Amino acid sequence: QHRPATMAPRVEVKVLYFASARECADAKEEVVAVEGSDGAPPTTAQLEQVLLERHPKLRAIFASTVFAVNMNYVDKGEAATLREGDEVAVIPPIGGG
Amino acid sequence: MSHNYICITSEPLDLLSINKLVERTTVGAIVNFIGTTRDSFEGKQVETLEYEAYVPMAEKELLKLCDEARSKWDLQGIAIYHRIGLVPVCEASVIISVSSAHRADSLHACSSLIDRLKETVPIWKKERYTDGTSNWKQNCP
Repeated sequence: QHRPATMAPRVEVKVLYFASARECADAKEEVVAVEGSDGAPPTTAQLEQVLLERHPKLRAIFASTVFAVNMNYVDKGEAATLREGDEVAVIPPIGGG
Repeated sequence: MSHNYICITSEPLDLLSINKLVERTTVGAIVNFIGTTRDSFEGKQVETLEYEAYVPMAEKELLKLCDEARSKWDLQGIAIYHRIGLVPVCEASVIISVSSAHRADSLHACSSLIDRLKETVPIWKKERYTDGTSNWKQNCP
C-alpha cells in the first residue's frame, strides 16, 4: 500500500538543544530517528520519549520545556506531527531582555 | 516609510547608531529601552551574564513583535538589538528604539515590546555569580 514519504511512520529530525537543555543533553544538536505508533506519523510526543531515554538528565527539566518545530512553538500538551528533515528545538524557559 | 531593524549580535550595543536607524524627518519622538546587567540577584553577586539565542527563531519572533506593535500604534522605525555571549555588569544586553510622529505611540510601543520580548523570544540568560555558581534565569511566566 503506497504511503507518501513525508507521512512515513519513521522519520529523522534535527534536534537543537539550548541553555539548560544543552547542558543536560551535553550536545548542541543531533539527528534523531523517531517512529510513529499504529501506522500514524511520529509526533513530538514520541520524540520526547526518545530524547528522555537518550539523555536521562533531560528529565529534570522537561516539565518546563516546550518544543518548536521549524521555528513554530508547540503548545505544551499538544503533539505536533513530525516530517522527515524537520528542525525541532528543545526550548527551556526563556530569559531574554 | 516604516522599517524594522532586528539584530542579534555578540558585539557591544551602540545606542547612537541604533537610534540613527529610526530617525526620520517625520519623527517627533524616539523612545529607548535599555536592558542592563544588574550586579546582584537574591543576595548573590553577579559577575557576568551570558546570553544564548536560537538566532533564526529569535529574529522571526522579533519581527512578529514589530508587526504586532505596528497593528496597535502608529510607529515609524523600530530597532531591537539583543546581545548574545558574555555581557558584563553595567553593559547593555538589549536596546529597543522606537520612533513615531507623536510620543504616546512610541512610549506605549516600547514598553510593550520589551514585555513581549520577554514572553516570546527564544533567548536565554545565565547568571554567573562571583562565588562560582551560575543559574539559568527564567522570565516570569
